Amino acid sequence: MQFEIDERQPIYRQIMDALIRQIARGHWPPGGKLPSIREVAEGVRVNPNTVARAFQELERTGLVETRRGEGTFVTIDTKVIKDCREETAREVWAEFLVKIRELGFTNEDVQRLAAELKEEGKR
Amino acid sequence: MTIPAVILDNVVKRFPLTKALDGVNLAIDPGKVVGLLGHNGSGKTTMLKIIAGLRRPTSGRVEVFGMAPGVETKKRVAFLSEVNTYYDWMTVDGLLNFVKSFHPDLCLEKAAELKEFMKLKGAAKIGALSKGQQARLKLVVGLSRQADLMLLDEPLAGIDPPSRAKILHALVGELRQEGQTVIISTHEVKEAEPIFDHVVFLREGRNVLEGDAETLRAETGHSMEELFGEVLE
Amino acid sequence: MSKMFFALYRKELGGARNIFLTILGLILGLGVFLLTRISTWGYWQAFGFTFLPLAFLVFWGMFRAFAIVREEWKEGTAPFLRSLPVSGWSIIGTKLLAVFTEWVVLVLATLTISALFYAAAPLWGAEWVKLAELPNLVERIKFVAVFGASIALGVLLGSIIFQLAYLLGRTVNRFSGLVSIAATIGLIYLTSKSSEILVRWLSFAPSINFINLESVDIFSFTTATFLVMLIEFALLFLVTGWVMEKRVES
Repeated sequence: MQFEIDERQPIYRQIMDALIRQIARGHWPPGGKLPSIREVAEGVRVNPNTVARAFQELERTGLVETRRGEGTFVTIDTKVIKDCREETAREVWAEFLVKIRELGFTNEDVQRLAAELKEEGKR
Repeated sequence: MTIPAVILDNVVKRFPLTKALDGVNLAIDPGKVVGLLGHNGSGKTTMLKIIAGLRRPTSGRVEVFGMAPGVETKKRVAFLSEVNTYYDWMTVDGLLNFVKSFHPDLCLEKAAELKEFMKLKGAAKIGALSKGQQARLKLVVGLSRQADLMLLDEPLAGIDPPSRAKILHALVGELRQEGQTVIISTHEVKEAEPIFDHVVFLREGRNVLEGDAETLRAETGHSMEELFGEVLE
Repeated sequence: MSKMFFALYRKELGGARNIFLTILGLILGLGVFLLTRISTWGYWQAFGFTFLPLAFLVFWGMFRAFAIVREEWKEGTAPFLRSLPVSGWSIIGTKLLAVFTEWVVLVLATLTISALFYAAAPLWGAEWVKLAELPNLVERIKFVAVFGASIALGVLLGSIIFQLAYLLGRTVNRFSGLVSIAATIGLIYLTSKSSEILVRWLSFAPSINFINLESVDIFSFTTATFLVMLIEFALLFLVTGWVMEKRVES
């Protein structure tokens, strides 16, 4: 796992979000094993304590579970993953709406744009 | 309740013409990687030396793993000075063996790996090493040990910029022993920023800002580097 | 514990190797030089000069004891030494022991040269008596032993005084040099004053008598002097170790 961190935001939060997106996308399948804390720490080049914190927070969401001595695994409860995916999508959508409204777009404009883009995609 | 690795309670250190520390209060939990951030002359070295038991505070209380600094705490602490403090006439291997006589926790296999990593020859005389090699040598000595508390005074001084990030990450990553508390003093925050759990900003002998790095990021929306500029200018 | 002590001792010997070899070389060089002088100075005068290094070594021993402590600060190694988990007494003790070892070796080297000179006297046709045939040999050996031991103890006492004085200077962050000088004077005054009193108190201590030495019939040496030096050395050692561990800054 590798990405640019933004030092102005909590780093554990960024690691956690990145993992959630990867799980939502199915990069780590249900029941699959996540990379170890050390591996992530080396990839992102941060302190392992920070990664451990990201894993702890992630565990609290129920999306992953840590088995002692074995590692951290994605939950096999696909409903949790699905819910999480939906929720993340809603967040992304909400962010998108904020940005597009800053351009003066109304809900109708957005729907029109979506339809146009869909047509373009077909061609 | 765990015993803090370090407690400083209203610690003052007066020198004839200056006050190096002017009432520092600090508690550091075990296992944390702490950034001691401040400009030159802000009291970082004095603070580390007081924790290491090399200097005595003028007033105030100091505890390291619940004990006053002394022979017992020195067994568990590795203090790595900014300048070379090793004997010039010793060889690199001679020094490692010397240190091992006092610290059985020093692992010679790990030392061999570190020498390789830092590109140092065991037979080299310490006095003949360059400043940069001497800076690497102390990291070899410190990291070969399994000290519960590692005090690093400006570990990046003398290390060439391309190697800095690599060494820093190795320092808190693969080279660090599980549960080890590390205090790193530096005035170059940018490179070290992502490795700190906890930061202490020191100005004129006072810790003007201190806290969990992530909490500070969340609260202020600033990086530690930006805070360094803001708080210490 | 003994492992740490031994490591420190070896370190002190290692650090002092160059200066030790230099002095040893000078002593041997003087021996060779005196050999070449026999023809011009005469045998007995040259032989007398073989003892010259002894006078120098008395001061050199004390100077080295002082220097071996001062070097830690001068070379900037004090923070490393003092970060090791050892008591101040171990540090001071190993330094004294190392200096004393070197001192003894150098004294023995000097005496060996003198002995070789003596043994070789017939080569130059000097009037010569075999050692075994010297009158009152046992008394002479006893005298040399007692005299040698008190000189050695004196050197140790002087050594610890200079070490303590230097370290007291190191407990302050300014005017270290002045404090050291003042402490040297103060400590010498203190030891000589307390010696007077202690010797009086210990007047019951037995004397060692030497009979029929060269010019005197009976030469008497009181063991009180010996005891006093021993007590003073022990006390100063305790204080110095404590200062090294708890009071100096590095």
